[in-house]
Amino acid sequence: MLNTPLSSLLSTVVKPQLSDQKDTKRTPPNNRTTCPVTIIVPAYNEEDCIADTINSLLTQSLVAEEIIIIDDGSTDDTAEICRSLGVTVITPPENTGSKAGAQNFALSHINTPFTLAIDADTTLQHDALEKLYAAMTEQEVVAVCGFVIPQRVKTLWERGRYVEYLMAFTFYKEIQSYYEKPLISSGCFSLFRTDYLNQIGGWSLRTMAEDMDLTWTAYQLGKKVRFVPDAICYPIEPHNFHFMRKQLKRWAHGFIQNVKLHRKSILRVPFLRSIVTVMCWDASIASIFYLTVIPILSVVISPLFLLGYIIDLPMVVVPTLVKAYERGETWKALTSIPAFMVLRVVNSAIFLEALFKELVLKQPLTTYEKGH
Amino acid sequence: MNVGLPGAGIGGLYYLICTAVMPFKEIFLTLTKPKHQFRYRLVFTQFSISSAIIIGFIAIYQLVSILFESNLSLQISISNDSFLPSLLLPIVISLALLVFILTLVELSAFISKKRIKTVIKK
Repeated sequence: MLNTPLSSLLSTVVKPQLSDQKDTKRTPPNNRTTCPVTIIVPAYNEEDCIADTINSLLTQSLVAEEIIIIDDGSTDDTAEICRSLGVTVITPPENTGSKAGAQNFALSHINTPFTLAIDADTTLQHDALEKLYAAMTEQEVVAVCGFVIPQRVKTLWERGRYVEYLMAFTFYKEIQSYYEKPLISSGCFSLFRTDYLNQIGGWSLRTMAEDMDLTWTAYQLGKKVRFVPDAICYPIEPHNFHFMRKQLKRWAHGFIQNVKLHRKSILRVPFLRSIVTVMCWDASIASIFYLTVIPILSVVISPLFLLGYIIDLPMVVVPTLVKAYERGETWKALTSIPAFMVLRVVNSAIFLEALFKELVLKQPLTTYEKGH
Repeated sequence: MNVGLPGAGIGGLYYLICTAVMPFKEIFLTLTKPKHQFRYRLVFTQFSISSAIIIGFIAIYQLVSILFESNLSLQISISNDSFLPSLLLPIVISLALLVFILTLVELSAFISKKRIKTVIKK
């Protein structure tokens, strides 16, 4: 049970079992507590995974008042599956063209003070919502995000992403959180104050990384964002190069667009300005290093220079193994580390391409493409 | 380093420094704010991770030095006399670069703040 000032807001709702999708209030089974949260899940052709997502939401230790699926023009059975599971399904007049568009469409349907936004391919640990909700202790806290771990870890790309998440969320994000500036409240799983979302006009469509935009805007308004490492979500990550490329392209363009958009205003936010600057430097210089300096030196002088690809191995291995050991996944993490090395070289190429297109060719990415 | 973005160079160094500052910040907060509770678990975990990373870097450096020395006859010696300076050199260069970049950012922030104040006064 929650032990926060907000716990006074909680009450156990006793109502008939949901039988009609228009009856938006849900009954908490087994006397579980209801919280004033609406969960919104944008979905486009997600029939393969949406049932798992909804089931994980229905079995949360803290019950959300309402679960809304935004069926963004799916051509498969997404909507039917959702209805059969007893959640609310809303449909925009036409495909909104992006996750942010679908989420904004749902914003006017939300009547609770808190909104949980999660992706249609993301399942939650049974107490994830409870843990995020417990972190909403101060009025200034407008967004809370959790730890992300890939649901499936089989292919090279999923393994690379698995290591990337373990490393980044165990080390970098914890430090960002300690200094009260998590870089992003992850788009795949975050709890927001609904009035904050309304205040800023919802999820912006001006960049390809609306979660980063929303987080940085919060800091500029003097608001706070929290990271709760114990609240875990499991998204499905791109399983092949085709989809991984799309996702990385969107993220790289999104980051550059956000830096361009917020460059003046983030100068007023201590710590954020530092981490964004060193990130810009590293993302650009490391990419050039991986793609040109190391190959040239290894051909011209000695193949030993290929060691440059693993020179920062401790930075990757230590945090990854710390978390993996805690989760009893040491072997899985160890065998996945080479995949991460491949992923980041690919990532470097995509980042440099994005940098060139955004800054030199002035060709910003404007079309949202799904990453799986 | 962040998910979806490559690179862990001076950024990595910056985060290591941030971790080193954490225990002192916690002591300061505990002494100055009566309600503050020392975040032992978080500080200890991050400090341990950072320490292990630094030890890992020293081990890698030694390995690379041995490989290069034996294969390329490069002047990267790990003898008692020169080990520390040659180990410190890349760290000093990276630190200098980090300090330079962060100083530029802080200067930009200062100028931006002054400009805003001037505009408000006008």
